[in-house]
Amino acid sequence: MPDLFQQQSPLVQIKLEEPRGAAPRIEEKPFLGFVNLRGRADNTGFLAATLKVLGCEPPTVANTVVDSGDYRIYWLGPDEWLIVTPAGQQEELQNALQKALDGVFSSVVDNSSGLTLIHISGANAADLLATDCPLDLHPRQFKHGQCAQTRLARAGMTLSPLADDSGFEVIIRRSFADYLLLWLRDAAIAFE
Amino acid sequence: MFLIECPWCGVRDETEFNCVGEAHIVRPLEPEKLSDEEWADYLFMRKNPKGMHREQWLHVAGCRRYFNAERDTVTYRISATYRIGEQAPGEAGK
Ligand SMILES: [Zn+2]
Repeated sequence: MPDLFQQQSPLVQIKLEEPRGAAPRIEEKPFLGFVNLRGRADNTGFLAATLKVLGCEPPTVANTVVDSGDYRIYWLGPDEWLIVTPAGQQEELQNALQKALDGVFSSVVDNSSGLTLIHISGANAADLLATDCPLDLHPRQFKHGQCAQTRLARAGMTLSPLADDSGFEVIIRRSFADYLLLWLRDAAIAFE
Repeated sequence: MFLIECPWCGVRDETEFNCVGEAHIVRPLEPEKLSDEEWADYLFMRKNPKGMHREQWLHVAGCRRYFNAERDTVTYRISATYRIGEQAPGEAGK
């Protein structure tokens, strides 16, 4: 029987070439796990359960991101987080969280098929995004450890500066991935 | 660029927000005891002041939380934003 469920990147049709000139490097990190977690940050039961599973409590400082082992935990709201997991680990994490949070007011949703993650790196990474992003991306305002949900070319994105401020990790919706990558590729021509 | 301060995310561009109408409208506790007129008043009737107005805003492209803002409808100046459940500025002690 053919493998009907072979996973395809939403960017399967877009060829990302080697950056030319001073254009930033754009690369997808496909098939990562994305688990949306909601619960009350003032509920000790919720914090204890998430600590047990994730190895750390979800960040309560607005617009910050923490790394815990293989997981990357984004603050999305005062009661909402996004956990990025290595490929294929989302189901295991979802099950572990649901089990630990049994009876606790919370929600755990696997959104892995709905999102994808790209890295934009190089000296002009911030300038490329700033072509159509309303957020101040200067490292004085926005550095490693912070994250933000904002817009890129009018589509929603969640972004976070990479270590050493060498670029950005950008999480976008699967349904906008095609559009955004075409847009990015086009905008990058200005830096070639 | 017009900037609005989200009580969670801080100062962000206006394009990340939606205005969602008058704030501090309390849902009647016992709607079945209201007359049609009173219910319609709760559902549909809104203030339309010239000057300071308290409104709900939604940080739709950011943290997706609702919050309240005190905005002058003549100048568009937003004098304060505050979280849902917090007292409006100048309302303390009332
Ligand atoms: Zn916000």
